[in-house]
Amino acid sequence: MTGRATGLLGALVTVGVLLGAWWLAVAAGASPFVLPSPAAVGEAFVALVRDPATWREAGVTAVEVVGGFGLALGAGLVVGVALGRLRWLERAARPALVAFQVVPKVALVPIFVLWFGFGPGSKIVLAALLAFLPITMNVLLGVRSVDPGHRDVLRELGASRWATLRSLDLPTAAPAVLTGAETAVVFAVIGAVVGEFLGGSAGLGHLVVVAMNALDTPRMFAAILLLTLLGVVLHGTVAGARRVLVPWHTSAGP
Amino acid sequence: MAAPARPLSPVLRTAGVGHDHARRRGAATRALVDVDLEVAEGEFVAVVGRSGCGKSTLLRILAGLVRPTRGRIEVDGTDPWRAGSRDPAAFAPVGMVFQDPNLFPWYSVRDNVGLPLRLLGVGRAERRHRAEDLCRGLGLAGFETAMPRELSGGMRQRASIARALIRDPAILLMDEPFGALDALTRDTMTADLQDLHTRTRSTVVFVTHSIPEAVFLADRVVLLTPRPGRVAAVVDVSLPRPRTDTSAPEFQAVVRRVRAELEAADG
Repeated sequence: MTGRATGLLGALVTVGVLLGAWWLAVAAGASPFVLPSPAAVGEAFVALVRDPATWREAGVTAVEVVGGFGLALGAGLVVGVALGRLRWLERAARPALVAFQVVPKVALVPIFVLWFGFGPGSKIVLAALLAFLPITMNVLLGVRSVDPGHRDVLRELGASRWATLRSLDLPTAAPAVLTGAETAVVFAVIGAVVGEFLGGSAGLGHLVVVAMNALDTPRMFAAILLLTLLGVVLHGTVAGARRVLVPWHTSAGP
Repeated sequence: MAAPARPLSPVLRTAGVGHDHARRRGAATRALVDVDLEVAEGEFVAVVGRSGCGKSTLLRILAGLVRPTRGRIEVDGTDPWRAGSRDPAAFAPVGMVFQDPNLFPWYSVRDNVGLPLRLLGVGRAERRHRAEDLCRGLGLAGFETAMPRELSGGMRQRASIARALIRDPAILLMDEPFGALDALTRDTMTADLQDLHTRTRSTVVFVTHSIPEAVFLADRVVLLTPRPGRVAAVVDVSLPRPRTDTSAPEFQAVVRRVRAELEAADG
């Protein structure tokens, strides 16, 4: 049996065991309001997927996540390269970065609603904020990990700063940037959904809240399942980008 | 390249060059002291010494990677540091081969070899054409589009030599380029380098810790003594080229002489 087939079988067994445990818990008498049966959730999921309104909500959430992630990627690249290359700037920015790291960013939602309204704007900002640090820190570390021997080559050739950035710093940082991006895209989903929970009238997060208020637990579970699938697709896209963008790196191995 | 009609003139010169390595705490380490060196056009000079004698530092100074703390250098008659900063144009005739191949893992062999041309703004088609030509000449035929990690150590170093040669440098600096290779590969590469030098008549400064390698390749062997590095002796090697037989008594005699000089200098 090939390694791939073994892996697939293992994954199927894991899912089977989890579903079995769930089913057992329901059979043992858990209240359907607390834990609906897998079948009820499946039904609710099918109903949800068949409803075109669901896809409008999913579209809203996807735009928020992708928008926030894109903003964070752009800003993180610029800030990370600047901090990585300029030691004095990094020392100056260090306290701000630490503060940024420890502030519970979810607590800022009311402020963002105040500033950017109840629409997608405030969710994009929260998603971007959550995704920003993992990208920035990885870009910073990536830029710092440039091989001194490689730097000598370009210096000896009299390469300009721009040429050095393009042919050395960015390719060196790319694997770390992608690692940061994988974490960041998941954070962006969290940011968008939390934003929708707390101050929204659209999106899959809002769908979860509406289902909860209606005490429709199966629908709630189904909406969460849909959110998970969104996260899986986005994460898979970023992880797949590794094979395209840094095929030379060992992390892109088969 | 035809031999120049004009008399041999120094293309590289160091005058009273010294260098101190700055340290985090305490006094700086003196790595090089009072190095006066003249390398004539087309000459092959080997710099030999034990580890820590500053021979790599000397080469890095000649390549403009390190600014000497004392003294001055001249490349083709101009001081590349005269403006207070590194003048890339003054170092343009210089090509450098490092001990590690230092190939960029994200570029194919031909893109690594063509990198210096890319920095000069040469278009992709011409770059690739010239890089592929050079690769074939250096025994890399069939590996032009391979990635560096797919090559053996010897082939990687061949690619890095190709990268240094693609700008047709008048002066080639080599810092123990074969130091990390196995003995057989090393012999082949050394013979190939001699052929290359005979063909192109470029000026070469070659750092090594192997006395036979230095005697095999060089017109002149410069001996450095360690801590601080200073020139102990210069030995002329007048063996006829091409040199092939390292076991010949004449060859062995020069090797013994160089070794004796080095041991005498060490005290």
